[in-house]
Amino acid sequence: MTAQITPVSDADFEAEVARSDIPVLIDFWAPWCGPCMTLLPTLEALAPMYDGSLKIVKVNIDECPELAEKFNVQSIPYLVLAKGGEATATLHDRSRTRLASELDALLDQDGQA
Amino acid sequence: MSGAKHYCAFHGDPARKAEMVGRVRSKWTQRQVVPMAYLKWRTDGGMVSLSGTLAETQVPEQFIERTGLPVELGALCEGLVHAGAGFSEDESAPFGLAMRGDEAILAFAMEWLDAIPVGADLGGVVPRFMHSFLGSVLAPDFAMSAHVSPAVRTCAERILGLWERELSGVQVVPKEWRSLRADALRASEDPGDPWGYAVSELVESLAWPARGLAPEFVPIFQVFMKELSQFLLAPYLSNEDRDILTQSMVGLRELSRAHRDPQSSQLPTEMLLGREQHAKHAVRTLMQAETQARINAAKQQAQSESDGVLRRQMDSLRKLIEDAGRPETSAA
Repeated sequence: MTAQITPVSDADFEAEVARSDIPVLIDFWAPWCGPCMTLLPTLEALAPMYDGSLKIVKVNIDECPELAEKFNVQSIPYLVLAKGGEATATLHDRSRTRLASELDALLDQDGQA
Repeated sequence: MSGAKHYCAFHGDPARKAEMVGRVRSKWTQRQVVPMAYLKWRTDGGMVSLSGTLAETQVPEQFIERTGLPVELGALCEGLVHAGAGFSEDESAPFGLAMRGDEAILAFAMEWLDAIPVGADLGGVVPRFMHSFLGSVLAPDFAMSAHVSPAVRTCAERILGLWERELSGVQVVPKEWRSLRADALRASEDPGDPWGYAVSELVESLAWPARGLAPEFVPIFQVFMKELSQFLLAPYLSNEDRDILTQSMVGLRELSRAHRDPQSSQLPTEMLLGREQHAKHAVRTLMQAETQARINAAKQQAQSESDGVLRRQMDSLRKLIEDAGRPETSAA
């Protein structure tokens, strides 16, 4: 399941996120961040639920400070829904139930799901 | 049991268990490992978790391969200890971090490892613990029982029913879960009793098949235990502080709702809180150092009650681990 969360860096952000045909949920994280690590299984569970309508990627803020700055990341974990490489929403919930509910509403709103 | 992954603790080899657990015990005794709710292992002298030390890896697949244990079991056992431990900066301590806590709570760090029956399939332990835990929250003698609304209780009972079917091998169609989740979210919207928020959020978070949710259970459990700890300390506060705590719960809930609204999710927290002046004042007051000091003092007074709840959950988990080695229950 881990393979369904694509690690993204400065080098492939354009290809994986900006030019993605479908909305992208970006998880800004760092390996030293406990809440980031405990959120990962939830994102791994969500990925197959939105197969084809949402891509989920993760960005290590230690390795990609410019991306973190571009998305105004103040604390992690930080979840951003992006379209065309630009943020369209920030997700604050952390449970699978709430994240799925929020994503359903956001994707419906965009006519994507 | 379709969909269930099978495990064999320490690959049935007592010598492997002795070596691996011995490694953890040695580090734990010297406080060179820290209970964490996720796998953490490194070789540069930095902080490591008990499970990371057990398998000398932080790669989940390698952990399973080396130990024959589900990753989520280690995370839960360590998460229980972590929930009852306090940490403070101390340059003389390993990692610059002093850990304190009741001996009975900290002892669980090794207890769960010692309890593992070599060769047992522990794949069902965390889902069974989730069932037992939710059952304990619904019990009439549970501390928050009077604050659980009938709608939330009904949803929780339905979750228990679906988990029982799943764990006994009966198929549960996704539609049943979707319907239950929708009902749980509706039940959570009830603005009534602020002391009921914790249970309603717990119940909505748990409305998924148990085996699939098991890797996500620890943070759900930890959030709930934090809320429960606040509930238990409330009687030790003055009426004024209790009111601040209650109103801040209302304020923080409103803030969460505002964050979910696409129209307002990007707005600053201060602006969102500004819509509810009374709650805004309570949240601000709650954050003040002197309020926090009084709350911490009350927390100390309620510590034995919080530890008691946690210790009972530890006992329940240890029994499930031990029972997994008995032929009559290991297949479930």
